[in-house]
Amino acid sequence: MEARNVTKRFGGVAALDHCSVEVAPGRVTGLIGPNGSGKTTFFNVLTGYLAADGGDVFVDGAKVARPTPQRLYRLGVVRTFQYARLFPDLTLVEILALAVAKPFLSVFGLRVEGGDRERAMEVLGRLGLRALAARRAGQLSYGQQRLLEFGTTLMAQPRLVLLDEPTAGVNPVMIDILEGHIRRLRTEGVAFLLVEHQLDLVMRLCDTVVVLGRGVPIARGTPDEVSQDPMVLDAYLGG
Amino acid sequence: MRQVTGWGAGRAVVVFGTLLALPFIFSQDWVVDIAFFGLMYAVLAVAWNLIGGYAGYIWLGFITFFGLGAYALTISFQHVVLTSVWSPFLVIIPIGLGLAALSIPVALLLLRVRGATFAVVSLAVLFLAEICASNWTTITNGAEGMGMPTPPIAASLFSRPFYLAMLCLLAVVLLFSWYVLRSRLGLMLFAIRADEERARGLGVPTTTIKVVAFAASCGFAAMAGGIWAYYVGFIFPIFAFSANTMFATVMMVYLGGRGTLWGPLVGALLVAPAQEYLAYTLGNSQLYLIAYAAVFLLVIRFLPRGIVPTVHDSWVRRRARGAVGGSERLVST
Amino acid sequence: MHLALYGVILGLLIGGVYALMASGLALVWGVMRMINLAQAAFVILGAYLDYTAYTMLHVDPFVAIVPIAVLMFALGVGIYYLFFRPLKAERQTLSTLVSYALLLAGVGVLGAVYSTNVRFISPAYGLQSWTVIGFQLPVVEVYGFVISAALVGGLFWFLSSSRLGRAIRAATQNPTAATLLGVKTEWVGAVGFGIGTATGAAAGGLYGMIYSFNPNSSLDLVGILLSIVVVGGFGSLGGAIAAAVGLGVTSSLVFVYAPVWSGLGFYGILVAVLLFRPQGLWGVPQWRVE
Ligand SMILES: Nc1ncnc2c1ncn2[C@@H]1O[C@H](COP(=O)(O)OP(=O)(O)O)[C@@H](O)[C@H]1O
Ligand SMILES: [Mg+2]
Repeated sequence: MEARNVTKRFGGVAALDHCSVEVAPGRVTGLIGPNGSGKTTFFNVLTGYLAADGGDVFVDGAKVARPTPQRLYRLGVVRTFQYARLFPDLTLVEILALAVAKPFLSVFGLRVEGGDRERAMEVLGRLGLRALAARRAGQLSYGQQRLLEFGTTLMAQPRLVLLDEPTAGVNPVMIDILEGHIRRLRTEGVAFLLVEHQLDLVMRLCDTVVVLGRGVPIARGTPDEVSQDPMVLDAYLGG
Repeated sequence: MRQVTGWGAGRAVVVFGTLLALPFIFSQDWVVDIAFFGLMYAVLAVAWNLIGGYAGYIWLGFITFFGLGAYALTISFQHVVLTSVWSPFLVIIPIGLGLAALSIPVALLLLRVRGATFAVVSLAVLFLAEICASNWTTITNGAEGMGMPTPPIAASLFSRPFYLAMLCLLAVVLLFSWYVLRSRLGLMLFAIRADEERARGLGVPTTTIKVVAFAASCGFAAMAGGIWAYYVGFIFPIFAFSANTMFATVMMVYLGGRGTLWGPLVGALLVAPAQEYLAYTLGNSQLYLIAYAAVFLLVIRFLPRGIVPTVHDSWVRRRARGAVGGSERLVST
Repeated sequence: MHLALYGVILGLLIGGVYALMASGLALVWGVMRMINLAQAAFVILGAYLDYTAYTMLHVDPFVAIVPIAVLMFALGVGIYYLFFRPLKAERQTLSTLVSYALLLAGVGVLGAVYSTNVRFISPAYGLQSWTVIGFQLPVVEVYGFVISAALVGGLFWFLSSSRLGRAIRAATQNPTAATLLGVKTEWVGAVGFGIGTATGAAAGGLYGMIYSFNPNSSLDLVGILLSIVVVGGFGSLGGAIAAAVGLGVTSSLVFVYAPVWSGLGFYGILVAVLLFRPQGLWGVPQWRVE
C-alpha cells in the first residue's frame, strides 16, 4: 500500500501537506510526531474517513477510486482508533463477529454464525478475554477495550493494520500481548502502520520510521537513523 | 439471550391468541373499533422501531408512507364496486412493496444527514406530503378528501374484517422485527445506533443497512395506511399525513421501550385504546394533544428506557435474588 | 417583470420577519445543538398575545411586542429548566423530540384557549400602503421588516459586544473549552433559549399583522423554519438570516406565478441543499473522527 502526496486542509490550515508513505507486506512502519502533527488525520485519509484535498491512495499498485472505510476494509486495510470506540451494548463475541468480512447477503443470516463465534472465541482466548466473551463491551476496563479493539483487526484477515496509539491507557502485560501478536502477524505477511508515543516500542518493532512534523514528513529511515536525526529531536523537543 | 426460547414463543401465542379472541368475546362494534386503532398503532410502532429503535434514526416522516398507502389504496378503488370485503386487503400487499421501493430514494436523500438534523429534516417530508396531497387536486381531490367504496358487510359486524386484517399485519411486522433482531442485520443496526463511524471502520455497509430498515418500516406503514383508509372509508390529507399520528407513534415506542421487540407493541396497546376511549367519551378535543405531550415528557423524565427494559431488568434482578435465597435454603436444610 | 420585481420586494420584507424567527432558532442550535421545533408554537403564541393585547387592552400591536418579548423570555427560561435541562443521555435527539412534544402541546393549548378560528391583527393602519415608484408596499410589512432588522441587528450586537453575549458565543463554538474557561453552560443554555423564545414571539406579533393565523399555523411554520436553518447551516446566525431572506423571496416569487404551491418553494430548496451540500450553505460538517 502506498499513499502519494496526500494533502488535507481544514479551513485554511494544511493538516497534511504532500505526505507520502509506502508500506510493504511483513513490515512494520512507525509513524511518529508530536501531537497535532497530523498522524490521525493521515490515518483518516488512508482509511477513507476523510476525503483528501490532493494525492492518492494505492493498494497493490492500483489507485483506490473514491475511498470509503468499507471499500478499504474489503481490501484488507483495517484500523483501530486513538480513543477506544466500541459499542457498549454489544457483547464481545458480537463485536468480533461483526468485524468478519462477509458477503453482503450474510446480513440476512444469523446474528452470529457458528463459525464466526468459534473464531471470535479463539481470538478472545489469545487476548486473554475468553472469560468475558458474553459480557457487554461497556463493562470492560479501558485497557481491555483497547485490546478488544485490536482483536477486531484479527477477525478481518487483514493485509494492512493501522494502529493509532494502541498502548495508550493499556497496562504493561497487555502491551506484551499486543507486541506478540504484531510480531506473529508480521511473519504471516501482514503490514503494519503504527502511530505510537512509546518510543522504545517503536524502536523494538519497526522496520522503518517516518517522522511527521506539522503535516510534512521531516525524516524517514530505520529506527536508529531516525533517532539520531537532529531535525527529529528538534521537532519533538521544540515541538 | 436472543434465541427462540419456549418463553418467547409462548408469549407470542398468548398475546396473539388473546387478540384473536377479543372481537368474538366482546362483540360490540365500538369495542372492536377501539381495539382496531390499538392494533394499527401497534403496527406503526413496531415498524417505526425498525429504523427509530434499532438503528437510532428518528424518522419523523414515517407517517408520510402511512398516508401514501392510504391514498394508493383509495385511488386504486376509485371506480370499483366491491363484491367481497376481502379483495382490497390483497391489493395492500403490492402497495406495501411498491411504497417500500419508493422509499429507497427518499432514504438515500435523507440519510445524508444524521442525528437531530435527520429528525427535523425528515419531519419536513411529512409536511411536504401533506401540502402535496392538499393541492394536487386532480389525483387526491385535495382537502375535500376521497372515499373508498363501501364493502358488502352487515353494519353490526363492520369492524371485524378490518380488525383481523390489522392483526395479521401486526403478526407479520412483529415476526419481521424478531427476525431482524436475531439476524446479522440487527447486529449491524445496533452497531450503527451506537457508533456509526466505528461501524463503517469494521466494514459494515452502513448506508445499505439503514436503507433496508428504512424501506421495511415504510412498507409496513403503507400497508397499515391502506387498511386504515379502507376502514374509515373516507380520507383527508390532514388525517392521512398527520403530525399527531407521527408523534403518537414515536411516543408509544419510547413508552414501551425502543429497540426492544415487545416494547413498541406494549406502548401502543396501552396508549392508543385509552386515547380512542377518551375521544369517545369526551368528544374529539385538543386535550389529547396535550395529554400525548405530557405522557412523552413524563416517560423520558421518569422511565427513560421505557416500560419493557425497566420491567425486564427488575424481574431479572428479583430472579437473581430469588436464586441466591433458594441456594441458601438449600444449604441450611 | 414588474410583477416579478414586486414579488422580490414583498419576499424581502417577509424574509426579514422569517429571519427574526430563524435567528432565535440558530441561537438555540448554538447553545443546545438542537432544532427547537416548538419555536413555531412560540411564534404563533406571540401572535395570539399580540392579538389579545390589541383587541382587549387596546395597545398598539407594534408597541405590545416589547412586553410580550420580555414575558416570553421568562417563559423560555422556565421551559428550559423544566424540560431540557433534565435530559441526560442522547440529549440531541431527545431534546428534538421534547420540542416536538412542546409544539403539539402548544397547538393543543392555543386551540383550547383561543379556539381554532382564524385571527388577524388589524390595527387602523393595517390596510394602508405606501406607493414607492409604482410598487404598493403595505405599511405593516415595511414596519415589520424594519423592526425585524433592528432586532436582528440588536441580537448581533449583543452576541459580539456584551459580556453575556460573548459567553454564549464561546459556548456555541466550543462547549468543552467554554466550560473549562468557567462559562456556566447551563446558564448560557437557559439565556440562549430564553432569547430564542423572545425573538420568536416578537416575530410572531409581526407575523400576525401580515398573515392570518390559527393554532395550526404553527405546523405550517415548522416546515418553513427548519428549511431555513438547514439551508443556512446549523448555528450560523448569518447563514440563517441569509437563508430566511432568500427563501422568503423564493416562496414569494413562486406565489406570484403559482399561488397554490408557494409553500413548496422552501422544500424545493431544502431538497437541493440536502443533495448538494448537506451541511447547509454556510455550515461545516458535523462529524469528526479521531
Ligand atoms: N475534522 C477536523 N476538523 C478540523 N481540524 C481538524 C480535524 N481533524 C484534525 N484537525 C486538526 O488537524 C491537526 C492534526 O490533528 P491530528 O491528525 O489529530 O494530529 P495527531 O494525531 O498527530 O495528534 C490538528 O491541528 C487538529 O486540530
Ligand atoms: Mg492522534
